[in-house]
Amino acid sequence: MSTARVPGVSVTDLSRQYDNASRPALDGVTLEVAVGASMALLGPSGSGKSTALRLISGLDEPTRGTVRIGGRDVTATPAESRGVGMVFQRPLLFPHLSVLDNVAFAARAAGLSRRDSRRDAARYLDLVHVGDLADRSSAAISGGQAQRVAIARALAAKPAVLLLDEPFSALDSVLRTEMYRLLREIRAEVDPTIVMVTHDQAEAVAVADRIAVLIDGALEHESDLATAYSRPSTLAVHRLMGGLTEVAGTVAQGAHHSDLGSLPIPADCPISEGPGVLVLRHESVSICLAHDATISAAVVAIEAAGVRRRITVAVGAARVVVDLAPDIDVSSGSTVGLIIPPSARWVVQRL
Amino acid sequence: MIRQARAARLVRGLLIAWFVLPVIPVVLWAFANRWPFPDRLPAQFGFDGVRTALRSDAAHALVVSTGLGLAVALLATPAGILAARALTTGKVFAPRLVQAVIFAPLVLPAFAVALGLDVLVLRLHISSTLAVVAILAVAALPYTTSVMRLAFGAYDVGYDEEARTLGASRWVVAVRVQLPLLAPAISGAAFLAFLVGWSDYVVTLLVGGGRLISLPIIVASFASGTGNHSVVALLSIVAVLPPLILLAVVARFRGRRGAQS
Repeated sequence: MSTARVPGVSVTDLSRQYDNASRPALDGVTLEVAVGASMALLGPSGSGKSTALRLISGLDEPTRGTVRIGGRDVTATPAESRGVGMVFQRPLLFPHLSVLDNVAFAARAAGLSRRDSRRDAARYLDLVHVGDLADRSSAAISGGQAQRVAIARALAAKPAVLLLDEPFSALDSVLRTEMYRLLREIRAEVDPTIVMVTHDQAEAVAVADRIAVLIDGALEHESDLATAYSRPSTLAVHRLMGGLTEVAGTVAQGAHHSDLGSLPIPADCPISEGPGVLVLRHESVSICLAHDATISAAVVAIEAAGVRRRITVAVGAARVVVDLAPDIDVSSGSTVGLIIPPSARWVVQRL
Repeated sequence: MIRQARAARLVRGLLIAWFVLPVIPVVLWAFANRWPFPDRLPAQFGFDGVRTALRSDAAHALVVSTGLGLAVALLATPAGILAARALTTGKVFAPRLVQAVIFAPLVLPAFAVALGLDVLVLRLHISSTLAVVAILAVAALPYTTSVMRLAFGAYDVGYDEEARTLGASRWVVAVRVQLPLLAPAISGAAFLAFLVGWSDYVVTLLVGGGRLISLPIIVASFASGTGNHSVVALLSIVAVLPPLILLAVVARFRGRRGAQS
């Protein structure tokens, strides 16, 4: 299997305005994905993330802006000449071809003989662990297998960039976990540059090493995974990343002031003065005995979160969500101490 | 479950009876030298009908009808594909008007059109065979367009997009993706167009001016005479067989494709 480095992808001021739409589907997005990196494009429905992928692939034309692949401007290059591979939510295996011939399609389209293209295709089927399905009809395999074949088919075209448009959203959770593992194996084996669209932050974290968040067609955040969780650019990004705690207040003299009290915040917070929303990760805050902490809070709600429990505590009007370790037991109405480490604090603008 | 299976068998039996029963007297007539009323069966079986058919131009008419069917299918199928594609993608000027023109042969009486065009064809010195093929192709266009429109409407452009990202040019997409996926519909459309050419009587008679002797013309001429029951029955069976065989081939082809997809 070739391990040659593949070029990265970058877009500049990428915009798409559809006819009869009140606002652009994508508005001035500038983004760069390093060679061999995996970028998740995260956003709610209608945020423009699939539009971005179609513009990168060449299946749609931008109203403004440029697309570069491996440093080469491909904005005017048709999809078939861009060197991108695309895997959609539906596997879209050609029903008139066998599994093997589906994977051999790119080589056949490039003019290779049937025998040569099939030999090459068999290697990619092995890569996604479905080599034994080669002779099956593409209609006679399961959804998970079909998506594996679709990935093999895209990889067999040896794309510079692999674009994944919510490819696992139709699969059940067990199959999804298997596909995440498969993607990691593929990255280790062929090291493609990957741009993956998803609306699921857990999926983004499972397959990507960087996250870009699109809200209403605009790029609101771009960072590594840890930063996306702990230091979101906006309240919308915090919510999309699964953040549950938002405490309104004001920022003054390097601290956030609210019902939680005066909490010093990191110096690089984007809000230095004025109104701001303190955002906290439920995984990063904890509770202790009431007299051991400076903040006393009342437990107002308890819910199950897998093997753990998730509680909501109230301090005045402020509500803070805390994930509990399995061995900690609290009852609703009890008073606890709330620990908010300085590194867990972050303040963003009110919407 | 058992009751359902029984009901399905009953319906199947009734359907077979519905189609087969009317054919039985025709088959009997084809090999009946004499069948006076009110006998329930022919008084004398024989091959008088076969001999009469062989003496007539039936063999030539069979070739003419086949040629007519194939020519109409060859013209009306690609035209229907193009028309359906244009109407489905909306890339056509005044689509409602175009649609009305294409489907006009369904509402205009063939007799009136043929009579009117006959004069025009004569005055313009157009070959009558060419004129018959052209007119029948236009008559077949609503059927081919309609079948292909349904096929294009149900066609998933996702396949084309996937193929393009795999490096397929538009030509390769058309040949390696669209054509195989639309093949069942195309074969169905071609079959219908073939039938229009194969079974036409009015246009072939009026515009063909008696020079184009197809199977329906021969059958009609025998049917208009008296005492020709056996040859009419025999030629009717001959006229039904080729489309039936073609239908079986198309159905088998579609079935195989259906099983694959």
